[in-house]
Amino acid sequence: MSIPAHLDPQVKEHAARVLAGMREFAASMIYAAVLTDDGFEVADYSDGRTDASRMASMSSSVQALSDAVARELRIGTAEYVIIASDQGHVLQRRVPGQPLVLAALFDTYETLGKAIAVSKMGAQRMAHSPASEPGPAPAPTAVPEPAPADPAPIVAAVPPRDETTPRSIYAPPVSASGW
Amino acid sequence: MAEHVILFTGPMGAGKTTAIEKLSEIDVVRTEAANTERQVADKATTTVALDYGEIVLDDQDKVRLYGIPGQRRFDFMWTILKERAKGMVLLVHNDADDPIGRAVEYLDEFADLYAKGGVVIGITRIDIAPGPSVTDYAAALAVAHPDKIVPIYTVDPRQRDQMRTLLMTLVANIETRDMFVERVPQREELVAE
Ligand SMILES: Nc1nc2c(ncn2[C@@H]2O[C@H](COP(=O)(O)OP(=O)(O)OP(=O)(O)O)[C@@H](O)[C@H]2O)c(=O)[nH]1
Ligand SMILES: [Mg+2]
Repeated sequence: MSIPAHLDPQVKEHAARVLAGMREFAASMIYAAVLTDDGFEVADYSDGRTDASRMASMSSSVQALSDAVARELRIGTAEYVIIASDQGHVLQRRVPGQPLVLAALFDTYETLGKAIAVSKMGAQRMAHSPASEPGPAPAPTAVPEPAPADPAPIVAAVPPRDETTPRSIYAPPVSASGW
Repeated sequence: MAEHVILFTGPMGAGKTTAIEKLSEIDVVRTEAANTERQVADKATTTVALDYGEIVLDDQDKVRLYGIPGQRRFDFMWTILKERAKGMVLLVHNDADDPIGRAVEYLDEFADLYAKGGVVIGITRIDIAPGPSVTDYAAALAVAHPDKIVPIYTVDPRQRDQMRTLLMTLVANIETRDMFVERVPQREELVAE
């Protein structure tokens, strides 16, 4: 059995970097987390006011309920879930191919379009997670795929606030582990 | 047709989802997620929001069956589900760590449901752990909750008939209690007379 993501140092580190990359791209991101399907926190980017482990459990329930609704209505799988409120938007989605969910809270000044795009790219980047194998550590894997052409223009069209030199979340790898 | 809303509670791995799947006459609403707590309950999935099913008993009682996620991390769902239920099937697996302690813990947590309707306890997985016995549970509950009369049975949630009997016992208890409450005139009525 492989190590659960929330206990795997490599996955946790990768997740923290993905979230930090999202924040660099969208200063409006107040809080974000990567969690396991069953609601354990893998990593979070927090303002310090959010109880990250409780939010992880709640995001897991919300994701499962949204999937249940999509199943019931036979509309395929839920791509993302939005909770839009007076003071912020929560956006969450599954990480493709992994039993993980990415959830993020943006302030209301952010356009929904950008929030959706940033979370989509975060999830895609998280999908290339360098999971540890039990036993000896594997050799570093290949550098993940470059950014898909599709969502990038949407994001590029809406520059982040409070930043003079926005950096792409697809910045080159910064460590031997691949990111 | 009378309607009942019954909540299946109890620790992770007790058999709540299994029981609702066996009992329900409609497609069950499931919110299972891959389970990373394999050392707590060695099973592939765990409930993260709720289970929902429905059954009609004896052509006259429609019972809505809700299941909680057993892990306390999801206790915000407990609060939501507790609000709408009027009775509880508390399942505890006998191979849990301190199963009697767990039974008392969940009875404490969901005591409102005893007051609102009624409670039955089903001890599960006795083929895996034969003890403690029903008598042991009864003795501990008599100390922890001396004011409550809670029927305790051993059941296998994989067996539909056993779960049906347990559910019918609970529904009968709730209906008897309703009749009793209806017959007792309320204070305001007495004053009016
Ligand atoms: N041998 C045996 N297995 C049982 C018995 N009752 C339940 N099981 C098994 O125990 C497991 C119970 O799992 P679930 O029904 O998912 O448990 P749950 O209470 O819904 O757990 P959570 O949703 O994680 O809180 C299943 O694999 C059942 O087949 C029993 O009496 N004997
Ligand atoms: Mg369950």
